[in-house]
Amino acid sequence: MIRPALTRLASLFGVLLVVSMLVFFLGSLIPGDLASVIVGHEGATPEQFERVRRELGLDQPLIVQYLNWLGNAVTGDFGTSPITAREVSADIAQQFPVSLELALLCLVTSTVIGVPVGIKAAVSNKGWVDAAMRASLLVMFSVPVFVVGILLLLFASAFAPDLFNVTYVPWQQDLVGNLRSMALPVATITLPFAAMTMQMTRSATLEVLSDPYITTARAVGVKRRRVHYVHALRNALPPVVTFLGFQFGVMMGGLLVVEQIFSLPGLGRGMLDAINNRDYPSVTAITMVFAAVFVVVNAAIDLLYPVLDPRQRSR
Amino acid sequence: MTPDRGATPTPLLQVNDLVKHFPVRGRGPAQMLRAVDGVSFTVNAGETVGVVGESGCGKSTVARLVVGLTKPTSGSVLVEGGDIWARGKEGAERRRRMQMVFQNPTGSMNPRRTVGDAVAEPLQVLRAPGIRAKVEETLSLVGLKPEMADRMPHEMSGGQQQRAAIARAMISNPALVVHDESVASLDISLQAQILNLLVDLQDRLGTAYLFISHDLAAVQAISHRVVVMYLGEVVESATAVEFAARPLHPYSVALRRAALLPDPEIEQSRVEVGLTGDVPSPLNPPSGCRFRTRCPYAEQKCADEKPALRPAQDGHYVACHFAGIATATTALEGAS
Amino acid sequence: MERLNPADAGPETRANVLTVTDLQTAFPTRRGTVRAVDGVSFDVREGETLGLVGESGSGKSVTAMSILRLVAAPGRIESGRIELAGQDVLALEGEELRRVRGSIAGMVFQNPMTALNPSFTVGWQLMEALRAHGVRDPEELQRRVEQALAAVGMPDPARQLDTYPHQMSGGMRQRVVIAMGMINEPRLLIADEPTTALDVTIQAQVLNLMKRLTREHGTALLLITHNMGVIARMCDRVAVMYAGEIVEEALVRTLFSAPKHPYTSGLLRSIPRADHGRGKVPTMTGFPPDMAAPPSGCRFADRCPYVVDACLSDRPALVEVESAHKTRCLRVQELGGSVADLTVRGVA
Ligand SMILES: Nc1ncnc2c1ncn2[C@@H]1O[C@H](COP(=O)(O)OP(=O)(O)OP(=O)(O)O)[C@@H](O)[C@H]1O
Ligand SMILES: Nc1ncnc2c1ncn2[C@@H]1O[C@H](COP(=O)(O)OP(=O)(O)OP(=O)(O)O)[C@@H](O)[C@H]1O
Ligand code: SF4
Ligand code: SF4
Ligand SMILES: [Mg+2]
Ligand SMILES: [Mg+2]
Repeated sequence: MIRPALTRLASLFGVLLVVSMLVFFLGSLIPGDLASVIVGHEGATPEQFERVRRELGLDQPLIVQYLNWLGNAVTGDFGTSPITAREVSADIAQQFPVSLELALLCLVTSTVIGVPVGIKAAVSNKGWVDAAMRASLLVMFSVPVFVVGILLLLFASAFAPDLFNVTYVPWQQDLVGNLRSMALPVATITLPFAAMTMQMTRSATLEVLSDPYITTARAVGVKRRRVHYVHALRNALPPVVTFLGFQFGVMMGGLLVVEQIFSLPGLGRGMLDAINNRDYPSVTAITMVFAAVFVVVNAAIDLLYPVLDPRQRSR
Repeated sequence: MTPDRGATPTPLLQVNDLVKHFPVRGRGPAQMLRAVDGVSFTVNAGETVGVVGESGCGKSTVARLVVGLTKPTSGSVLVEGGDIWARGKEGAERRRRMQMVFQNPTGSMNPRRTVGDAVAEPLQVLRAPGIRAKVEETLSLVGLKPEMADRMPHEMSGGQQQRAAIARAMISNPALVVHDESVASLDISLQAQILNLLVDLQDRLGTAYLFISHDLAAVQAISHRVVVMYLGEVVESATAVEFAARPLHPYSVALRRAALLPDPEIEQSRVEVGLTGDVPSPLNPPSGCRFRTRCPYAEQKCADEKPALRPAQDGHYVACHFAGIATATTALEGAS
Repeated sequence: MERLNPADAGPETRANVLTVTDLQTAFPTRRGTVRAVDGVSFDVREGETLGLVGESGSGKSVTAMSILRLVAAPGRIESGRIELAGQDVLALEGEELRRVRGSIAGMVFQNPMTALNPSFTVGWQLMEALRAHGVRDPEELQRRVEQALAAVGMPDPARQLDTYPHQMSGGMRQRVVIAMGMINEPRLLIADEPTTALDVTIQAQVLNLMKRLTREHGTALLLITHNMGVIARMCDRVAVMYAGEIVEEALVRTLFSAPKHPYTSGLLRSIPRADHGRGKVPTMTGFPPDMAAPPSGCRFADRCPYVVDACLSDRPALVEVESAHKTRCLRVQELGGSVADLTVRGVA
């Protein structure tokens, strides 16, 4: 158990290292650099420009710049944003919990809906329940998130303006207020994610339901519901959990539309702003955070596998 | 060491001290799985040698080693005295003289190609003139209609597919065909049909067979000589006639006893219990005689000293310190 | 355990545990309806072992699954009657049906590698079988599971409770499957090819075990196999299936020594024997019919050496030709013993 965990950890850092190189060197291919953002295009003398470059170390070879950056990054220092003039890490420290909360809430709601419905659909395979569920899945998929979000926002402000907070409230400040500010964003994206989870659960369960041990359980008189929700689900779980982990990664990085609509100060919005402002240090740092989340979630799932599937355990 | 018939010229196939170890990666240090551990036997031209043994004793690995699908860890496979892994054309030529028929008729044929194309495969040229005629001739040889060449594999029954697989093995006039459980997945009546077909083909074409099966009855029905394997080793080898009358190794005797006869008079009055326990893991085989953990006659010597495969009498080889003890103390029912 | 061992009573006085009458189970397929079981009738008496033999695809497994109504959709029991310990199985609904499964009739399936759930321990799965029939007390669960494992010859039963199926050999797993089938002390055990996936030496162990257990508990056994040796070893009576029908039914010794149906005789002749040397085995030519379009007359007609014109048009019925010996052949009277003679000669 220890050894694979350590190997995992090592490869995890390896992946992050490669990602950081990619981000850094690809970023350097974009015309213009940090100095031009800080100094601005007009009115700066070449001397000023050069001085800023020197201060930032931009006159040094790229590899040296990278190593410097890397050296700082491992201590948690991603530099200073030329736009907000704050430490990038401080910005991220504020944005990260927002995105994390949004992703976790979405994961919970979409799982709570998606998994049971998926099992139900599998059990009634090709019956009307299954057909109805698959039809609604298509509908949920084909409506763009921003349409749903704006509609929800409009409805909420028209019919229940006091029920929801339109501005973000951190949970440390006011838990209820926080949940009221999260409700609409979560509602907006739960259904499409639930639809995917359902689809995944359905196919995993279908596969398991035709396995002989399911017949064994029925032949010995185990109740139908128990056969489905205990005997079958337990075996359908590994692929579903892998998928949920993947979804979580997507949610952490990909909810920028929702964060934008509902003005949530999360990572997605931070990324969007940073790109618009050519805020190189922030772009690099947020990208690294996304990569780290993905890698960590993947590693966690890998370590979870033996727990889910006894055949993966050593004796 | 090699159980062959003394003065005969170079046998068709000589398997010398064949070893195949697989490294297994578990959690923890890598271990060696001793799938085949020093197996030797010969097959003469036109002869059938049957190999029996329980699941996991290394039969399929031997089959794959013999036809050159895998390279041995050590030891050699010789065809007419020449190594099949000799460099260049020679080795390849020798490997091509052997063909193999697998257990699963459905799985061994490409579902998207016609049966005719599959059968022609060993000829290595598909659209040359005369190939079609050759395919049809071979199909009728195995009792299929020549038109079957245009069918797809899934349009044939299991028995027909297995006949086609045999046709594919026979089309290049091989000197030896290795059958790895080729009748195991077939029904009783089909099994009998295929066994008869194999005997027929051998009588007509003089092809030698290495017939591998866990079913002693099927092996007895087709073989001139029988080789018994246990946990990667040969424990006994004898002519089929001699083996039917007098198996000497305690494991062979147990195999014979465990093979149920289609005769209620014998079976319902059977009292003795067979072997206890399971086959040990080939990752960690017992010291000395590998059968000792299940052998009712095991003694200290069996743990200390590995019994060599040695002649008990002309052409009959056994690897047991007390060869014959099982047959001597208990009469075999049903032996005719 | 209080129950009188029915095996002590003579065969005639025993009551039926299972009576199947004119069972028809069908599968809709693209090529038409496949009547996998087509008018099958037989019974199993208290404590006896009835063998069901026949070629692959003859309908043995579908028959077994029909008894506990486990035939997977789209398969359907179309008609017939199944009486299990006095209950009309086809009339049962929901909970009633569930309570019958496992407690009145248990099942043992062919492949021990797949018949157990890989995600749960052996102990949990056995307890689950007890829980399904109302045992709740943890101590009783534990005790009865250990008992059941000990009964199937499992070394160190208490320790095996926490073992996962993949940590066991095939033979050990099949013991667990048998323990599961027997744990609620059913009156009937239905075993579908219980040893086919096992090595011969392990097969011998498992068969001995089943023989001992069914004797001790007076459990009736419906044993499905295509291995005539297993039939010879285990059964009191045998029913032979061909193409969805029972073609012959007799006491085991009668069936082997004096078969009356040409298919049975052909089957017996074509078995290679471990105590015989090299040589050809007499065979039946041809294949079983396509079950989507079975012949209208005798289903064995195109392979039968005794076929006459009438066989192609008239469907023979299963008739009792001698006491306890039924056959489905139009020519059974005129052929008499010649069918059996061929069997005996074939072996020599
Ligand atoms: N490629 C491989 N890698 C690792 N182990 C292998 C490999 N091939 C075979 N083995 C192991 O070698 C041993 C012998 O296998 P083999 O398939 O030769 O047995 P067998 O006698 O043919 O058994 P069966 O009757 O089940 O076909 C087994 O323990 C098997 O698990
Ligand atoms: N799900 C299904 N759909 C269509 N046909 C089926 C299905 N299950 C079984 N059958 C058909 O029913 C017939 C009987 O099958 P069954 O499994 O009972 O045979 P069997 O006698 O048990 O054979 P085996 O010895 O191979 O187990 C076969 O012809 C098969 O094709
Ligand atoms: S050497 Fe010993 S243990 Fe091995 S088979 Fe002979 S008697 Fe048995
Ligand atoms: S009815 Fe005719 S074809 Fe059928 S088994 Fe009897 S003799 Fe043969
Ligand atoms: Mg094999
Ligand atoms: Mg079956």
